[in-house]
Amino acid sequence: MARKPLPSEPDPALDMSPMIDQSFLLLIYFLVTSTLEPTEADLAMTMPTSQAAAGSEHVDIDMTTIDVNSAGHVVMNDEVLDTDASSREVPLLLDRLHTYVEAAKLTGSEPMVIIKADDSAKGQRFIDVLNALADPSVNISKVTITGFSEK
Amino acid sequence: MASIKKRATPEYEEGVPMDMSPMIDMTFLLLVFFMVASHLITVQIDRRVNAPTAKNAQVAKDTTGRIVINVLEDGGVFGYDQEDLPTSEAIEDYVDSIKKANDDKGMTTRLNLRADKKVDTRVIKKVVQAAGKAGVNEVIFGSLTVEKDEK
Repeated sequence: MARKPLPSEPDPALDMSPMIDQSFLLLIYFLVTSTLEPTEADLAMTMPTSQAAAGSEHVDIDMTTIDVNSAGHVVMNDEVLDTDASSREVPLLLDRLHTYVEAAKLTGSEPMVIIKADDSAKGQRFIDVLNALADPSVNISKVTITGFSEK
Repeated sequence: MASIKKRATPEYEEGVPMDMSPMIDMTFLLLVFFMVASHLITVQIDRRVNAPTAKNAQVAKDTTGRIVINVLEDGGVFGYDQEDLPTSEAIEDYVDSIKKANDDKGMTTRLNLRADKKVDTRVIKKVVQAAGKAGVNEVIFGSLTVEKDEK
Protein backbone atom coordinates (compact mmCIF):
# COMPACT_ATOMS: atom_id res chain seq x y z
CA MET A 1 0.00 0.00 0.00
CA ALA A 2 2.84 2.33 0.84
CA ARG A 3 4.37 1.74 -2.63
CA LYS A 4 1.23 2.88 -4.37
CA PRO A 5 2.10 5.90 -6.58
CA LEU A 6 1.29 9.23 -5.12
CA PRO A 7 -1.87 10.85 -6.47
CA SER A 8 -0.71 12.98 -9.38
CA GLU A 9 -0.74 16.66 -8.69
CA PRO A 10 -2.98 18.69 -11.03
CA ASP A 11 -0.76 20.36 -13.60
CA PRO A 12 -1.62 24.06 -13.79
CA ALA A 13 0.44 24.70 -16.91
CA LEU A 14 -1.51 24.89 -20.19
CA ASP A 15 0.02 22.76 -22.89
CA MET A 16 0.68 25.17 -25.72
CA SER A 17 2.39 22.81 -28.14
CA PRO A 18 -0.75 21.99 -30.24
CA MET A 19 -1.46 25.69 -30.68
CA ILE A 20 2.11 26.39 -31.74
CA ASP A 21 1.98 23.40 -34.10
CA GLN A 22 -1.18 24.75 -35.68
CA SER A 23 0.21 28.27 -35.95
CA PHE A 24 3.33 27.05 -37.73
CA LEU A 25 1.24 24.85 -40.00
CA LEU A 26 -0.91 27.81 -41.05
CA LEU A 27 2.15 30.04 -41.33
CA ILE A 28 3.89 27.59 -43.66
CA TYR A 29 0.67 27.10 -45.63
CA PHE A 30 0.31 30.83 -46.31
CA LEU A 31 4.02 31.21 -47.04
CA VAL A 32 3.81 28.52 -49.69
CA THR A 33 0.51 29.54 -51.27
CA SER A 34 1.46 33.21 -51.49
CA THR A 35 4.55 32.37 -53.55
CA LEU A 36 2.77 29.88 -55.81
CA GLU A 37 0.78 32.58 -57.58
CA PRO A 38 3.05 34.06 -60.27
CA THR A 39 3.28 37.82 -60.28
CA GLU A 40 2.41 39.75 -63.36
CA ALA A 41 5.23 41.51 -65.19
CA ASP A 42 5.38 44.23 -67.84
CA LEU A 43 5.84 43.85 -71.56
CA ALA A 44 6.13 47.41 -72.79
CA MET A 45 5.85 48.93 -76.26
CA THR A 46 5.83 52.52 -77.42
CA MET A 47 3.79 53.70 -80.35
CA PRO A 48 5.52 56.47 -82.26
CA THR A 49 3.61 59.73 -82.19
CA SER A 50 3.70 62.79 -84.37
CA GLN A 51 4.52 64.88 -81.27
CA ALA A 52 7.64 62.84 -80.47
CA ALA A 53 8.74 62.94 -84.09
CA ALA A 54 8.37 66.71 -84.25
CA GLY A 55 10.39 67.27 -81.08
CA SER A 56 13.31 64.98 -81.83
CA GLU A 57 15.97 65.04 -84.51
CA HIS A 58 15.22 63.48 -87.82
CA VAL A 59 16.14 59.80 -87.70
CA ASP A 60 15.74 57.43 -90.59
CA ILE A 61 13.25 54.80 -89.69
CA ASP A 62 13.59 51.36 -91.16
CA MET A 63 10.18 49.75 -91.03
CA THR A 64 9.26 46.13 -91.30
CA THR A 65 5.96 44.34 -91.07
CA ILE A 66 5.10 41.27 -89.05
CA ASP A 67 1.79 39.60 -89.76
CA VAL A 68 -0.04 37.27 -87.42
CA ASN A 69 -2.75 35.44 -89.31
CA SER A 70 -5.92 33.83 -87.96
CA ALA A 71 -4.21 30.43 -87.58
CA GLY A 72 -1.49 32.00 -85.45
CA HIS A 73 1.21 31.78 -88.14
CA VAL A 74 3.86 34.48 -87.97
CA VAL A 75 4.67 36.08 -91.31
CA MET A 76 7.46 38.63 -91.79
CA ASN A 77 7.86 40.42 -95.12
CA ASP A 78 5.61 37.88 -96.86
CA GLU A 79 7.69 34.98 -95.58
CA VAL A 80 5.88 32.43 -93.40
CA LEU A 81 8.03 31.79 -90.33
CA ASP A 82 6.72 30.15 -87.17
CA THR A 83 3.57 28.11 -87.65
CA ASP A 84 3.16 26.33 -84.31
CA ALA A 85 0.65 28.51 -82.48
CA SER A 86 0.71 26.29 -79.39
CA SER A 87 4.42 26.92 -78.83
CA ARG A 88 5.58 30.01 -77.01
CA GLU A 89 8.85 30.08 -78.93
CA VAL A 90 9.29 31.86 -82.26
CA PRO A 91 12.88 30.91 -83.26
CA LEU A 92 12.58 31.76 -86.97
CA LEU A 93 11.13 35.19 -86.22
CA LEU A 94 13.91 35.85 -83.70
CA ASP A 95 16.50 34.90 -86.32
CA ARG A 96 15.00 37.27 -88.91
CA LEU A 97 14.76 40.04 -86.30
CA HIS A 98 18.48 39.66 -85.49
CA THR A 99 19.32 40.15 -89.15
CA TYR A 100 16.94 43.09 -89.35
CA VAL A 101 18.36 44.82 -86.23
CA GLU A 102 21.96 44.29 -87.43
CA ALA A 103 21.09 45.78 -90.81
CA ALA A 104 19.44 48.78 -89.15
CA LYS A 105 22.55 49.32 -86.99
CA LEU A 106 24.81 49.32 -90.03
CA THR A 107 22.71 51.85 -91.89
CA GLY A 108 22.21 53.98 -88.77
CA SER A 109 18.45 53.85 -89.00
CA GLU A 110 16.05 53.17 -86.20
CA PRO A 111 14.21 49.86 -86.31
CA MET A 112 10.45 49.99 -86.14
CA VAL A 113 8.01 47.16 -86.44
CA ILE A 114 4.45 47.22 -87.65
CA ILE A 115 2.38 44.36 -86.33
CA LYS A 116 -0.56 43.45 -88.48
CA ALA A 117 -2.54 40.96 -86.48
CA ASP A 118 -5.63 39.26 -87.81
CA ASP A 119 -8.83 40.07 -85.90
CA SER A 120 -9.34 36.46 -84.87
CA ALA A 121 -5.73 35.74 -83.90
CA LYS A 122 -5.45 34.89 -80.21
CA GLY A 123 -3.99 37.38 -77.73
CA GLN A 124 -1.23 35.00 -76.69
CA ARG A 125 0.16 34.78 -80.23
CA PHE A 126 0.25 38.56 -80.45
CA ILE A 127 2.10 38.64 -77.12
CA ASP A 128 4.54 36.01 -78.48
CA VAL A 129 5.53 38.42 -81.24
CA LEU A 130 5.88 41.31 -78.76
CA ASN A 131 7.92 38.99 -76.54
CA ALA A 132 10.30 38.30 -79.43
CA LEU A 133 10.66 42.06 -79.99
CA ALA A 134 11.45 42.54 -76.28
CA ASP A 135 14.16 39.84 -76.40
CA PRO A 136 17.42 41.36 -75.07
CA SER A 137 19.22 40.51 -78.32
CA VAL A 138 16.59 42.33 -80.42
CA ASN A 139 15.13 44.97 -78.09
CA ILE A 140 12.75 46.86 -80.34
CA SER A 141 10.27 48.95 -78.38
CA LYS A 142 8.92 51.06 -81.24
CA VAL A 143 5.91 49.15 -82.39
CA THR A 144 2.82 50.08 -84.33
CA ILE A 145 -0.34 48.06 -84.57
CA THR A 146 -2.41 48.27 -87.72
CA GLY A 147 -5.38 46.54 -89.21
CA PHE A 148 -7.99 48.02 -86.91
CA SER A 149 -11.59 48.09 -88.02
CA GLU A 150 -14.69 48.99 -86.03
CA LYS A 151 -17.49 46.52 -86.46
CA MET B 1 15.11 10.40 2.10
CA ALA B 2 14.84 8.86 -1.29
CA SER B 3 11.16 9.78 -1.60
CA ILE B 4 11.84 13.40 -0.63
CA LYS B 5 14.56 13.69 -3.28
CA LYS B 6 12.30 12.34 -5.98
CA ARG B 7 9.62 14.86 -5.18
CA ALA B 8 12.08 17.76 -5.01
CA THR B 9 13.36 17.31 -8.58
CA PRO B 10 10.13 18.08 -10.53
CA GLU B 11 9.44 21.07 -8.31
CA TYR B 12 12.82 22.50 -9.22
CA GLU B 13 12.20 22.03 -12.98
CA GLU B 14 8.81 23.67 -12.84
CA GLY B 15 10.42 26.75 -11.36
CA VAL B 16 12.21 27.75 -14.62
CA PRO B 17 9.73 27.40 -17.48
CA MET B 18 10.72 28.80 -20.89
CA ASP B 19 8.73 31.89 -21.75
CA MET B 20 7.13 31.09 -25.07
CA SER B 21 4.91 34.16 -25.39
CA PRO B 22 7.35 36.17 -27.62
CA MET B 23 7.63 33.25 -30.00
CA ILE B 24 3.87 32.87 -30.19
CA ASP B 25 3.50 36.63 -30.67
CA MET B 26 5.89 36.54 -33.60
CA THR B 27 4.22 33.52 -35.13
CA PHE B 28 0.81 35.14 -35.02
CA LEU B 29 2.22 38.39 -36.35
CA LEU B 30 3.73 36.63 -39.36
CA LEU B 31 0.60 34.55 -39.84
CA VAL B 32 -1.64 37.61 -39.88
CA PHE B 33 0.79 39.44 -42.17
CA PHE B 34 0.78 36.70 -44.80
CA MET B 35 -2.99 36.31 -44.57
CA VAL B 36 -3.47 40.02 -45.20
CA ALA B 37 -0.69 40.37 -47.81
CA SER B 38 -1.88 37.45 -49.91
CA HIS B 39 -5.36 38.95 -49.97
CA LEU B 40 -4.14 42.45 -50.92
CA ILE B 41 -2.31 41.20 -53.99
CA THR B 42 -5.32 39.37 -55.35
CA VAL B 43 -7.76 42.29 -55.14
CA GLN B 44 -5.56 44.54 -57.27
CA ILE B 45 -5.91 42.40 -60.38
CA ASP B 46 -9.00 41.09 -62.06
CA ARG B 47 -9.00 37.35 -61.43
CA ARG B 48 -11.09 36.68 -64.54
CA VAL B 49 -8.20 37.65 -66.82
CA ASN B 50 -5.92 34.76 -67.70
CA ALA B 51 -2.72 36.62 -68.50
CA PRO B 52 -0.55 35.48 -71.42
CA THR B 53 3.03 34.26 -71.04
CA ALA B 54 6.04 36.32 -72.08
CA LYS B 55 9.50 35.31 -70.89
CA ASN B 56 11.03 38.71 -71.61
CA ALA B 57 8.53 40.66 -69.53
CA GLN B 58 10.13 42.83 -66.85
CA VAL B 59 8.98 43.07 -63.26
CA ALA B 60 7.38 46.47 -62.75
CA LYS B 61 9.62 49.12 -61.22
CA ASP B 62 7.34 52.10 -61.57
CA THR B 63 3.61 51.68 -61.26
CA THR B 64 2.60 55.34 -61.16
CA GLY B 65 0.40 56.86 -63.82
CA ARG B 66 -0.98 53.59 -65.05
CA ILE B 67 -4.39 53.12 -66.54
CA VAL B 68 -5.46 49.55 -66.00
CA ILE B 69 -7.81 48.07 -68.57
CA ASN B 70 -8.86 44.44 -68.31
CA VAL B 71 -9.92 42.49 -71.39
CA LEU B 72 -11.74 39.25 -70.68
CA GLU B 73 -11.77 36.11 -72.78
CA ASP B 74 -15.25 36.89 -74.17
CA GLY B 75 -14.06 40.31 -75.40
CA GLY B 76 -15.51 42.35 -72.53
CA VAL B 77 -13.48 45.46 -71.68
CA PHE B 78 -13.43 46.71 -68.10
CA GLY B 79 -11.71 49.55 -66.30
CA TYR B 80 -9.84 49.31 -63.00
CA ASP B 81 -13.00 49.54 -60.89
CA GLN B 82 -15.03 47.22 -63.13
CA GLU B 83 -16.38 50.06 -65.28
CA ASP B 84 -17.90 48.51 -68.37
CA LEU B 85 -16.33 49.99 -71.54
CA PRO B 86 -18.28 48.50 -74.45
CA THR B 87 -17.31 50.92 -77.23
CA SER B 88 -14.14 52.60 -78.50
CA GLU B 89 -15.62 55.96 -77.44
CA ALA B 90 -16.15 54.73 -73.88
CA ILE B 91 -12.53 53.52 -73.71
CA GLU B 92 -11.28 56.81 -75.16
CA ASP B 93 -13.26 58.86 -72.63
CA TYR B 94 -12.12 56.64 -69.76
CA VAL B 95 -8.44 56.91 -70.77
CA ASP B 96 -8.75 60.62 -71.45
CA SER B 97 -10.29 61.40 -68.04
CA ILE B 98 -7.51 59.55 -66.17
CA LYS B 99 -4.82 61.03 -68.42
CA LYS B 100 -6.01 64.55 -67.61
CA ALA B 101 -5.90 63.81 -63.88
CA ASN B 102 -2.38 62.36 -64.27
CA ASP B 103 -1.22 65.35 -66.33
CA ASP B 104 -2.30 67.66 -63.50
CA LYS B 105 -0.13 65.64 -61.13
CA GLY B 106 2.78 65.73 -63.59
CA MET B 107 2.78 61.97 -64.16
CA THR B 108 3.35 60.22 -67.46
CA THR B 109 0.35 58.14 -68.37
CA ARG B 110 0.81 54.59 -69.57
CA LEU B 111 -1.79 52.05 -70.50
CA ASN B 112 -1.56 48.78 -68.60
CA LEU B 113 -3.49 46.41 -70.82
CA ARG B 114 -4.34 43.16 -69.10
CA ALA B 115 -5.65 41.12 -72.00
CA ASP B 116 -6.67 37.49 -71.68
CA LYS B 117 -4.48 35.14 -73.69
CA LYS B 118 -7.48 33.66 -75.48
CA VAL B 119 -9.13 36.92 -76.49
CA ASP B 120 -9.30 37.89 -80.17
CA THR B 121 -6.62 40.40 -81.18
CA ARG B 122 -9.44 42.57 -82.54
CA VAL B 123 -10.27 43.69 -78.99
CA ILE B 124 -6.61 44.39 -78.15
CA LYS B 125 -6.30 46.53 -81.28
CA LYS B 126 -9.52 48.35 -80.38
CA VAL B 127 -8.24 49.28 -76.91
CA VAL B 128 -4.76 50.30 -78.14
CA GLN B 129 -6.29 52.41 -80.91
CA ALA B 130 -8.69 54.14 -78.51
CA ALA B 131 -5.87 54.85 -76.04
CA GLY B 132 -3.76 56.23 -78.88
CA LYS B 133 -6.58 58.58 -79.83
CA ALA B 134 -6.70 59.78 -76.21
CA GLY B 135 -2.97 60.53 -76.44
CA VAL B 136 -1.51 57.57 -74.57
CA ASN B 137 1.19 55.96 -76.68
CA GLU B 138 2.96 53.80 -74.12
CA VAL B 139 1.32 50.44 -73.72
CA ILE B 140 2.28 47.82 -71.16
CA PHE B 141 0.93 44.34 -71.68
CA GLY B 142 0.46 42.51 -68.41
CA SER B 143 1.98 39.07 -68.79
CA LEU B 144 3.46 36.27 -66.75
CA THR B 145 7.10 35.29 -67.03
CA VAL B 146 6.33 31.66 -66.31
CA GLU B 147 3.56 29.58 -67.79
CA LYS B 148 0.69 29.10 -65.36
CA ASP B 149 -0.78 25.62 -64.98
CA GLU B 150 -4.12 25.26 -66.72
CA LYS B 151 -6.91 24.37 -64.29
